[in-house]
Amino acid sequence: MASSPGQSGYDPYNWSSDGKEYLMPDNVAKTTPERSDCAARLLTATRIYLNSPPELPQYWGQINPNYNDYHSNTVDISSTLWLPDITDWWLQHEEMYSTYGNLCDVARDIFSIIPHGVRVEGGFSLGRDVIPWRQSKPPARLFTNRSQ
Amino acid sequence: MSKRHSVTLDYIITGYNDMFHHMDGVMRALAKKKTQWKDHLYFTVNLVRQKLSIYYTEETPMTGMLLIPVHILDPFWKLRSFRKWDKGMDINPKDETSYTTPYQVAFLKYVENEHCAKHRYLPVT
Repeated sequence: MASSPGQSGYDPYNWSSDGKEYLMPDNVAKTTPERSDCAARLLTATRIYLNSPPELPQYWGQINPNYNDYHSNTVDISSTLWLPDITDWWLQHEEMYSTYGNLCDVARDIFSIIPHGVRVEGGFSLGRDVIPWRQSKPPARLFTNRSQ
Repeated sequence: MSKRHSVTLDYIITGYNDMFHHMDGVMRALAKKKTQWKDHLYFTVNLVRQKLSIYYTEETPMTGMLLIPVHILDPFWKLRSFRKWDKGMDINPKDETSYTTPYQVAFLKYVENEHCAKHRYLPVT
């Protein structure tokens, strides 16, 4: 019978620890005024970003580096459903301007999350497997009741 | 859509809203039709809409507050999405009961607490 951590002195994973090292990590003591400045700059950049008016997609489209790219997909460029890519906008701002400073890092962290776990996106992917692009009419057996 | 665009988190609510609008339009157009196949189509779209509502309801607890910074970090909208909601409910965006002000505060807190903590910046006092 296995003994509980309190009954045995053997504790290879340090389960009996009170976890103080996690409550007060070393890096807090090592934070410097420069890091505090970074946080202040980030908050200032965030406020500047929030107080500036939203970007107009048509103006940004004119300086979109991929717009005249020989290798880019012509369907994407000519499509009336063209949507400005937010990640491109942030990347461009990070490389060309420094208006929003470290806010670009925040944007990169958030927009790098891939939403494929969203159920409706999963549903679309499954639907495309069942009904491919060239098939407009699904076979009747897909809709028949299995109990019949 | 994922074949032609890199799908980012800001597409979640937009995608759902577009689908709801599309289905509402189809159902409005088919509501008074008597033809059998149109009646079947109405029934099907209605079922799909219900299923989409279930997905949508389950989405918010999964993503939580993450969708707020996502929408604010959309440079083409920023706080405009929330102002639109306030306008729809006839609320002044500067009121405490509005969506705009608390979400703006929540975003600043997110940047300060989550991002600064992650990169080990000292919080601003």
